[in-house]
Amino acid sequence: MRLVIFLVTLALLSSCNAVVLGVRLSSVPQTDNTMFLSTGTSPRKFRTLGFVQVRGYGQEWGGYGNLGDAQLDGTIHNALAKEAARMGGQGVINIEFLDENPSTDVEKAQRAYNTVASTLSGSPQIETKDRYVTVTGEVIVFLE
Amino acid sequence: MTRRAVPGLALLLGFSACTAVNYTALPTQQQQGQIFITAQGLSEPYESVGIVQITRRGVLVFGFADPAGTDLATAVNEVEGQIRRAGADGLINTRVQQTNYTTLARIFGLIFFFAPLPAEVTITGELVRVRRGAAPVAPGMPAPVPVPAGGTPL
Repeated sequence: MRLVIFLVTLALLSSCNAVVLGVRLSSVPQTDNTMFLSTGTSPRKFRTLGFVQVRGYGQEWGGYGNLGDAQLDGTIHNALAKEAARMGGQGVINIEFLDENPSTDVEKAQRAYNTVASTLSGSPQIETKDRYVTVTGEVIVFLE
Repeated sequence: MTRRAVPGLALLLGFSACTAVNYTALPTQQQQGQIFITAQGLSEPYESVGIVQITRRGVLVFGFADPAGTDLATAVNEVEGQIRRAGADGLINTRVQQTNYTTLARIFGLIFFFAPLPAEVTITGELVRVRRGAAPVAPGMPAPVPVPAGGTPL
């Protein structure tokens, strides 16, 4: 019976919900002259130049600090857009993204607590976590 | 007789339980038709609000119990909340990834209950706000999509 209670408690405690948000992509019709970025297709006729996949790597420090490219925004708006521009593209369509190991609020708080606790105890140690974000897209040029 | 029946049934179970099925309807669409969640793009002009990824992780206790809510229905409910919080009209180009276990694997999870099965569901998509009153975008756009009257299983 104790084992059952322990397992259920463990299951409930280990349950978690992580929400990752990123800033907006391009609107349709496009209202600015920046690179067209969309999870869907293009509003105008286009020619495909190629495909790009970017795997951003970074580290989460102490639960809340981020280092590197493991953020959806950075990977899409910087790495992916730069690579597309290097290929001569005017836009990236059908973008698919996946934050491979997002941290929940509980996990972040736990790492922050451990970091603060170790600092207060005189042996400071920042808890880190490797983070990965994968983004794929189709690089295009507009024909009209 | 029993000795023959048991292995036979086990074999039958093993061969018949190779497909895992998960589905969910969209309750909001069925009830109110206010927001939409679709795996396609949008035929109308829209304003991008942002991108979102919802991940729910947990374990299946005794192979079948899902106290963490790592099923599609719970994740879709969470997505609905995010759409409303962001002030968006819907989520387009939705992608779903979910851990699937066959019935046989779940039975093994029941037998070896001390090692719960890890489970995870992830939904990604782009939050959009429809530009009402704007002219539709004609060339190159996908077929019209949102707000089906009865909801569409993901």
